[in-house]
Amino acid sequence: MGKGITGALIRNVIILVIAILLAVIFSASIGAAKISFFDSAKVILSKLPFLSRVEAFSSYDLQDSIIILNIRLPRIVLSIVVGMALATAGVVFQSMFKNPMADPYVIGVSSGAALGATVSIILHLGTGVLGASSTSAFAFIGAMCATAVVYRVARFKGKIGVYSLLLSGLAIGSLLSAGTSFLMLIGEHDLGKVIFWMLGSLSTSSWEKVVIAAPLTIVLFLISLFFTRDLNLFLMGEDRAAQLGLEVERTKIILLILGSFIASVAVSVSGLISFIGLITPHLVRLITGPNHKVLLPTSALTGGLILLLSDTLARVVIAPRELPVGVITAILGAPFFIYLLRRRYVSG
Amino acid sequence: MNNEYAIKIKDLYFAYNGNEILKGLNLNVPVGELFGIIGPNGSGKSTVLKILTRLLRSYSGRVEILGRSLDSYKHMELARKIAIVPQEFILDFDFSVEEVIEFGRNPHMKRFQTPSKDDRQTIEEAIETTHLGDLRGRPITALSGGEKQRVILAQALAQKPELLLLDEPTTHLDVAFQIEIMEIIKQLNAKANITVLAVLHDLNLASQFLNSIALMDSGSIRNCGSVGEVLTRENIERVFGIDVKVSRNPHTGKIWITPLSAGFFPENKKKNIRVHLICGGGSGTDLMIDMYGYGFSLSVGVLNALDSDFETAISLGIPIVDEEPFSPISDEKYACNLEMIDRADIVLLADVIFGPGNLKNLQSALAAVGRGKRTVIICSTDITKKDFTRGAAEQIYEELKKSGATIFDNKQECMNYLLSIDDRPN
Repeated sequence: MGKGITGALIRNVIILVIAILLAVIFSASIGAAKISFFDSAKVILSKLPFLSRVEAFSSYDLQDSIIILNIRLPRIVLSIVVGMALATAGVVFQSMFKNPMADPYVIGVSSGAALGATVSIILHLGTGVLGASSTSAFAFIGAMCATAVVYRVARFKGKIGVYSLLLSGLAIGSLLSAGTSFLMLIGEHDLGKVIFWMLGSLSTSSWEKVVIAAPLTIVLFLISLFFTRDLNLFLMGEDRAAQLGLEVERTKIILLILGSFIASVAVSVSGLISFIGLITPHLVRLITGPNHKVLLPTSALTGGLILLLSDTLARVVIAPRELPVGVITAILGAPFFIYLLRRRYVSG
Repeated sequence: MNNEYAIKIKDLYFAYNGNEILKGLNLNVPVGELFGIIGPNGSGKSTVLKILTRLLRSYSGRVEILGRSLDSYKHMELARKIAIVPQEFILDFDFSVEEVIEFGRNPHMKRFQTPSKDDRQTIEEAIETTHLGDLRGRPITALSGGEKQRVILAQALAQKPELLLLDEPTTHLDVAFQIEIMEIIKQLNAKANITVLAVLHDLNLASQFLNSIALMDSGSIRNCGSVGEVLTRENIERVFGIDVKVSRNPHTGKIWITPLSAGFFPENKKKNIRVHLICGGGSGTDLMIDMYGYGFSLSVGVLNALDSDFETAISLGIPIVDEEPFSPISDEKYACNLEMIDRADIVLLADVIFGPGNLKNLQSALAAVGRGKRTVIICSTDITKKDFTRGAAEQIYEELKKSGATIFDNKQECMNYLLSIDDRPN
């Protein structure tokens, strides 16, 4: 079975990497300026290592190349990164809480980020440090602070019970949302911007954002791979996991920081994109089973793919205007979620 | 390991939310033992296991595992020494049986390590020992309770522990799975030399499978020793507050404990009524146990030795008029029986089948009425169906009916009647 698991993992990764590459090329060909799939392929493949030396790929139109590389590609890459981050956080929290209804936002990330972003938008803080917009920075800080508060409230006698964590997440979340609503009332001129941010959108993507978000996400994702066996053990319940040698409380803190950190990164560059972190692990679990050795990497890549496709859709459905991608993920995610829910009840 | 004791506990105290649960518990479990803890709910049995697996830590006292202080073990190290089989476990995610068992290798594996040859072999052994070969690929969510319990046992075995703890491992299982699990554990103890400490509810399961027992009550050990030394009527009555019959199981030679009903209702104790029971062939066993529990003074007869009612009467210490095995009732024993009847307040004729051998018992009931004894009869069917004497029994029975005996068609009504009799001396 050990070999079977590794085999399944390699197969999934190969399939998903190819699928993501095709989706990238396809998505890069779509937009106001008409670029064919093959031209798009040439531009993108020529930028990949090894393939750049192939003659056939170097004969592309310079204008196509500028549109794709400067305008479309940062957004495409960012959507993959954000999708990966949200799916990874979803997998981690669902295991830790032993609850398939958990998502990256359960412990206050979303409400904290929303408050931070709203403050920044209403105060017109504009571009801040390191080229990242101050909205991103504020959202990130808000998310991490909220998580820290939730964690502190839930901690009791040196232990963090998962229920108290969920409940304190709910309580702190409501409190922060109240603050956000209040600010929105005061700064009603910027209401549109705030709402647009809260729905989740990748329209402000740039290479600057990619340069910050992508390395962080990849590093955090790689760290999470260290914990796949621990994530499996958590599903047996904390007591059993401890009896099998896991240092439960310490691992929980690490995973908590890891999960909320990676979710905060995603939220800070894209707003509150719903359902990706909740649905992707479910969808993947249906195919791969619950073993995190396969589930975690497969979910991360699948999350990237789904968000890329959703964002492509968001760009074209009502072109020349565009929908916030969060609207698309919600429209696709909610019915699927209901389907899963019904399936669960029917089967057991 | 040359340690004498797998577990050594001295003066263990533990309190939870201000309630003192363990009050100076001392327990030594020698290496290689098949050891059990029994005791009433809330006596602290499971708490001991939780302390041994470090789910509870704020205890005071000394706990040694395999010659070393419990606190000196690292997490992973402890999980290589001690494995526990819980009462039940819930896993809502559909891992395969084999994957779940593989979790048991966790304390032996490094991060990122895939199972080595050694790991694989241990897993295979665990699967074989627990007879899970056919189920290995099945999702755990599709298994029955008994099968799941075998999987969690296999997971514990995959840990390759030196000490196996069992927390009422068979509570939710039917009798076949109970025996299967206990048999597996017994073999493990004998062949793999794993020390076993089992918390059990079922006293008979404990006596059947364990070598030594500690009887626990309100936070400390009351008695400790071999099964025969600990499972006595006095000990059980003191700790569980019920009266039991302690006998030997004729098939296994092990101690067998039968709880006697109603013994713990003090208001029912000491019915001041003497009942003479006429029964046979098992018709009187339930009645004897019930009436004994309610505190009636009993006598019984005539019974053939080796009859199942005879065995019951012997073990309850009820006076018997007995006849040779498989022999018809002699005139002499019939006379003895009438003497017994004379001393009784009530004569109770159980739902017996009559043949030539025991027809005299029916006659003695008639004689009892004739001597003015209150006579009660239980007869659930038509007398002709119980009559194997070509009508002789039927004839006597009709006479009994006419002469004013009280007849009930089931045991419960009869018991209610007996209990309603005022037993205060006039």
